[in-house]
Amino acid sequence: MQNSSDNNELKTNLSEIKTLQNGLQDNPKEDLRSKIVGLGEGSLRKSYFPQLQKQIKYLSLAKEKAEENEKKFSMIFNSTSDAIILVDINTGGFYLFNRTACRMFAYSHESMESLKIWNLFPDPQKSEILEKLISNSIDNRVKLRHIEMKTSFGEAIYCDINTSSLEIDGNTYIIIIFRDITELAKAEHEKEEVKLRLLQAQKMEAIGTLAGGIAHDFNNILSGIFGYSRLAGNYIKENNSRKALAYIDNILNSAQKAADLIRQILTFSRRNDPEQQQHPMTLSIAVKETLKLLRSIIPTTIEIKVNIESTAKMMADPTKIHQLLMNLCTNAYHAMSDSGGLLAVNLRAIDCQKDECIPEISNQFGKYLELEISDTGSGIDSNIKGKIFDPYFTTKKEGQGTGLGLAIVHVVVQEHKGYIKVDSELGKGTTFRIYFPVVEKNGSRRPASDKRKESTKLGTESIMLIDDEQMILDVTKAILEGMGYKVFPFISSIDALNTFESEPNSFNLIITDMTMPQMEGDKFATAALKIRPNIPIILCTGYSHKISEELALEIGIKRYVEKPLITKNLEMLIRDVLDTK
Amino acid sequence: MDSNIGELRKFVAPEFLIGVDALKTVGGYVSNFGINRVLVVTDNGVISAGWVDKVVESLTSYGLKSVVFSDVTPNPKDYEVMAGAALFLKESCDLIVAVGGGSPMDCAKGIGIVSTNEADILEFEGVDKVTIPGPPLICIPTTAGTAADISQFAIIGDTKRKVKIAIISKSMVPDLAIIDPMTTITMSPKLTAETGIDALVHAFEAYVSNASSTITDINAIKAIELINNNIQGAYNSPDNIEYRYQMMLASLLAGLAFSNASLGIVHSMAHSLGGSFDLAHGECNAILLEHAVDYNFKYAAKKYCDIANAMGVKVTNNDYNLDGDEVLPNLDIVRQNLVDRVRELRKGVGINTKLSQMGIKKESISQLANFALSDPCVLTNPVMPTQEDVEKIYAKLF
Repeated sequence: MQNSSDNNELKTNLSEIKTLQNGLQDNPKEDLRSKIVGLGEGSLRKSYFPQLQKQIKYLSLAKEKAEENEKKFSMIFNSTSDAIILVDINTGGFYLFNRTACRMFAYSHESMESLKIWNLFPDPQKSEILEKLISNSIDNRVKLRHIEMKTSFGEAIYCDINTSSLEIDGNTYIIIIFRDITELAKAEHEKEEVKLRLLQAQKMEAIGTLAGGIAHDFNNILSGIFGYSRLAGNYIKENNSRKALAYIDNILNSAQKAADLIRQILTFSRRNDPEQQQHPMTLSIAVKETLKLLRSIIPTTIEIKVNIESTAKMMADPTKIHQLLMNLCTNAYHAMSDSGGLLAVNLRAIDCQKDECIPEISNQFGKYLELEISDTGSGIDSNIKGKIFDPYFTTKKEGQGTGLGLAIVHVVVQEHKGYIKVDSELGKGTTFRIYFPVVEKNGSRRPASDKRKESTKLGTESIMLIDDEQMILDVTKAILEGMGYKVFPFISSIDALNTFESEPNSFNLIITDMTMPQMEGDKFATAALKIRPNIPIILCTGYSHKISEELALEIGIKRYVEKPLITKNLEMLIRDVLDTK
Repeated sequence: MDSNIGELRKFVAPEFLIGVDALKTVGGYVSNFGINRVLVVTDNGVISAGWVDKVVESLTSYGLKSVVFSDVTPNPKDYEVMAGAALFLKESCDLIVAVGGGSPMDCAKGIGIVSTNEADILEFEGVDKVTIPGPPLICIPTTAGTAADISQFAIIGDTKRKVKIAIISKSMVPDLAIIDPMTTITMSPKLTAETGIDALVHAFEAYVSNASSTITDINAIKAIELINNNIQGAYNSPDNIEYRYQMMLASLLAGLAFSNASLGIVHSMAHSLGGSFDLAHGECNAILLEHAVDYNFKYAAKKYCDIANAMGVKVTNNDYNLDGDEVLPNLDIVRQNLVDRVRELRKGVGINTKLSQMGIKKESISQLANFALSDPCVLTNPVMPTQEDVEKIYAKLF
């Protein structure tokens, strides 16, 4: 036991006693005695009753409030225009449903109570329906739109369905909200029909334009044929067979042009199986190749910027893709030919499943290649934006464009399951964006065709290749070697001529550029033909008009081709020249 | 018999259950209240003795959830009460079971009124300051003496002012006392002696109180008889359940008496002494009792003769005078014999404390007396003592 004589502690403890009696000293002693023995006013035995009454009053107020809330809630619940049903995920039975649900599906409240969720669907595949709704309530990934439902009369109605899940007393329910869109769907259907009729009208208009264009082209060709025939006839009468033959060649060429035109026009109709010609292809390589070729024909007042971010593959017909690229880039160049500017080509891959969705293809998840070709040229008037893909629609002057370029682009994009978008502002420029589905590395739809393999093995001959542009020389050499030919490149036409003079029989074919310093293509050809008259020569011209085809043929040049040389065309051309020797 | 039939008398007591293994019934009682969760207020000593486990076991067997609050020290502090009330509210409890001696029971009373009134415990200081009763309170005493399981009192330490405050309110009388003598078997002989003498003083003072009544008297006198006959046995044979039972019963009876008739000079002097120096309440009571009897005897001689009788002190000599009349007892002899008996009983249970031995100086006497005279307990003493009277009694303790 502790004890202490410490004075401080004593003081503290004494004051403690004082406090113990605090408040008691104020009362007369008798009063205090009465209180202690339980006779004071506040000395009543404890009672919980007042507290209980208070609690009961509080609870009854809370109950009133709850009832009021319940009333409000059920008013809202029952007056919504959507049907709301809470379904037990284990039984498919209804836990709760609103009046709108009864009305929408034409059931009485009583008969509704005994229904299962699958009874509201036309094809009551119990487990499938419930599972679909449950999984939808979990991730909401699949949108339940335009779902056919069935009323008690067996009548079909269409609903958009939203689901979510919730737990009540440990049981899980799905809340299903049905929005009746039957009327809306009808209206939309009508709208769709109007749209279709409009489309039909537009189609007819396009056909008109197309027919007009074809007629115009054919008239031109025909007038050539008529003219040359008459001339040829005249020379035959004069017994000048050489000149007559030259005109007959012109007639043949015109006929060839007509045939080519028909082939082009057929691009629009021959769509039975475009995929037949498609193989996995790296789009970036085709873009690079095309732009290398283009650089040589586009004046330096136009800057070309290429940005390639993806080397993903797509299923493609290389010839058509080259054609598409050429057409778009050429259009861009034409739009800037007066003022110069920037031609930008961007290629990147986007993932439609994630952030960058293109609304027009958003319903198809997956990766896409985005090819963007933009110019800073004159732009497209918004009035004609809708027509630019129509065949024979053109803003170019007579004779400058065929009106088929963008139409072909459109067809090519469609054949490749792609999508094309155009953004343009008058005076500022135009941007085409094309989306092609990416094909996974091993996802080749079928092995490359035998024909293709065969064609790459075709060439064995030696070709003399002359071009003053090192880049074009390299590219063309690579392409030709890819076809199997032995290629001897010359950057100088003089050097080439010297070599040809010393060993004229080492070459099976000469391919030469037209525009070259020192000695131009036509002069070289003339010289070479003097050395060996039967040597096949293909003369390539840019957009120089110094030499016409007619003149070239007169010199003895086998073929006269306009740049750029597209791989497959070139291949065919060479074969043609070599085989018809 | 009450002499003053004009004065109102009141008797407040909880329902109580006494007997071996009474503790096991707690679950049944609590379930009767239709409640959610029980706050069990106790201290670590009681937990070690295993009584809390038994209580929780009984509650659990009735499917009742409970939370144990045991951060209670001897002489419970204000912050302990507030922490217990916070736990009570946080756990959404709605009934309190207190298991232990005076400290956990006083703390439990405090927790109850704080949680319903949402006020600081210190705001209830004084008599009848509790406006809203606390939640249902069940007390299970594990000592035989304090009778906090019966009483309207709670003593709480104000740690800021470093004083003890008394909260006295009928609304703190527990709803139920479950009195199981088995729980006292774990008490040490010293604690048995101190709490036993405390109960004896409760009975003595209630019996001679000027607010006593027949109802309190019959409880008080029976308590005295039981303690007189059993305290030595309980002290000497702690494991004897018979002695323990009788002491538990005596404590209950004494509690019923003093809670309604209040106390006297011994408690007022003991409060002064125990508050000033760190002395156990029971010990202070023990050394004061014989001197208070000596002083008070002549102011309530008849009552003291009854007490003497109850303690086996000869009051009549069974002699007859020549006229055949019974010879009246010599009051001085009775007083002396009673004082001797009380001293004998005290010494028998090993309490021989002298204040001088505790290092307390005689100079403190005047202040001690001063405080004793302003203690509310003195109001019901048979006589209102003077400063000098009280000082004389304190002097005898040295």
